[in-house]
Amino acid sequence: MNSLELSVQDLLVSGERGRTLLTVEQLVVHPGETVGIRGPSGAGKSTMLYALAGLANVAQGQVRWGDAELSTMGEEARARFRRSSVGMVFQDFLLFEELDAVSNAAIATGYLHGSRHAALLERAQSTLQKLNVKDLTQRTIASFSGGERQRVAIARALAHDPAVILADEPTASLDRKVADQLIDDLVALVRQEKKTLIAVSHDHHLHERMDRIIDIEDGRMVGEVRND
Amino acid sequence: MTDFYYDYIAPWWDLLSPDMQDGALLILYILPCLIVGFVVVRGMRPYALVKAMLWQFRWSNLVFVLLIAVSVALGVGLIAQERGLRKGTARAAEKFDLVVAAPGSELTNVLATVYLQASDMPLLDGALYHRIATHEQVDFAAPIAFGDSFKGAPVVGTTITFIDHLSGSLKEGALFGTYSEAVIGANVPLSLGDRFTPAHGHGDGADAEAHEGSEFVVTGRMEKTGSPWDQAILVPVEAVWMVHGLGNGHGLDEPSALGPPFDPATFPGTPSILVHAKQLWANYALKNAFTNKDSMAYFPGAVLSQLHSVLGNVREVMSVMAVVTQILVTAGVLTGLVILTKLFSRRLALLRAIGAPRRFLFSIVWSFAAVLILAGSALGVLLGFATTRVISGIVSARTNILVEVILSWPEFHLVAAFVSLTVCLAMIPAFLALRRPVVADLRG
Repeated sequence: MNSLELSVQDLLVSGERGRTLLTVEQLVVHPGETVGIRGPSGAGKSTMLYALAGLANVAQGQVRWGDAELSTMGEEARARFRRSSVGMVFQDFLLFEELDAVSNAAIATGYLHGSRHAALLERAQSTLQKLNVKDLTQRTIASFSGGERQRVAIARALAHDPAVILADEPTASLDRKVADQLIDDLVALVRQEKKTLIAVSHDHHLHERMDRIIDIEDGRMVGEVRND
Repeated sequence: MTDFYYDYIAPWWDLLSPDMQDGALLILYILPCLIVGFVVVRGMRPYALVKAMLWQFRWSNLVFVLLIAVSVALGVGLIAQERGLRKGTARAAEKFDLVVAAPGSELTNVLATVYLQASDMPLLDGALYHRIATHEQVDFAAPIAFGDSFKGAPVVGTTITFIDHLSGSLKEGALFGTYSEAVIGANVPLSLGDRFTPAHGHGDGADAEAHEGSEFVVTGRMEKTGSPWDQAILVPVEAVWMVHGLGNGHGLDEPSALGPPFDPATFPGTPSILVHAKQLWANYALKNAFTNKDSMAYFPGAVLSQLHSVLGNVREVMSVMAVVTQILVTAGVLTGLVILTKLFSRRLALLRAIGAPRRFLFSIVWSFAAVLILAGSALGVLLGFATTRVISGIVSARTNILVEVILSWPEFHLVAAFVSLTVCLAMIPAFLALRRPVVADLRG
């Protein structure tokens, strides 16, 4: 059961030469909640996502997932937290073109302890099947369509059974029909498995399916909308 | 450190056979590579991603592998070639214990007498030959009279004792028994029963008609010796003198005598005399006895040693150049790897984003470099061996000195040291890959 609650307090993310990229006074996301983040280009949406993942340079404030306070952790500890609790999906998939679907989805077998490999592979394969990805090992990603690639990327994000999925523009590279189907499948999967989903997107179809939408402008949280 | 070696290592080391010492050195040289590999890859499985990188950058990788291969081949080839040449020339000279010639350059005489390279040499007279041949410590003294040729093959006048010494039993046929018979070297393109007339001199300047009317018939063929003598035609020394109108060296009352003893008074002269002593130690006494103002006695092996020393020095200089080439190639390849790693940086950033430990990224980049280095080195060994075989074949064909090439410990030591050094240096691009900003790389 997912018990990781996100609590952000007085967050300040800075970029090069100390330039402020994002400030968030307070944000709480409950376990199993689905949250969309929207705003104009350059507003700081992706920066927020990277801050929640422990990748961005947090100058001050707190990003706490359950008991894990990311802003006080070292880099390796944050990486350890991500590989146990966070799955990430990116706009342009970031898959290894030369590998097949299962090898991509189970990429973590390269660095996770051997005792977890069997479970990881099994989960990667079952998630790919749930997402209707065919030819799991027969062909490399290079021959996959955009929709298929993003499904493989989602399977990779879910393969190690994380509590949280962070998605950065997951539908931006897909056509409408494929994007809608992907949204359906993604939301169904995270709800079925009671995972927290935080998705940065310009896609209002995606936001319509979220529990909550956070608006960001000029590096600040300017409001939020709850979908009924 | 020296005391430590002599007190604790040398007693054990000296107990090992040479092969075991070489094997131990090989392990010692390759050990850094194995230790680094174990430490870097332990607990990680980077192979699928390394395979992906190998395939993604296959053409660049191929160039890197070829560059490494050429630099390794240069080093391997130099060592193997020099050793092959040294052994080949030594083998060709091993039957020539002691040579007596007119005072002059020992090297020139070695080239003429042992390697049959045409040269004008002053002649030794019959009195000297008689003193040598009748010395109490001399087993036999064979005149070696060169100067004629047939279709590029040197025609050498000597005795059947020398042929027996050089070849042992004949491969086919019989030794010469008259002044018009000849025994040919293993590679001479003549057959038993073939007839020929020698030309006076060698090469383009040879006078084909000078000995017209003097015909020889081939009666035997020597075993292969791996020396220029395989390309030589051996005739009775008396025949050489007679075709030059100098008599037969036995006096008028012995018109068909063959071989020693010769008559000192009518002995026409010979440029070189091969001396075989009854006892090994006697060679030194004979050398002293016949080194004076009228003659010089020398050991061809000692002259070769000096030549090999020069050859070794040349090899050392060229080896330094080969090592410099290897260092430059390694630096170029590692720089290239840094650039390739940059091209792969989004994928590496993705791995960091999904929680891969830094050591996993390190193991990917290092393993990628290590595969290229190992593949290049293995290919380099093969390339070096093949190139050396080709060059040796050409040298053997041109000089008739059998240059055999086999790979031996020094080549493997060189490659092991190169691999260890470069895989250690391959940690540099791996470290640089870790220093890249994850978020910036993720954004592309």
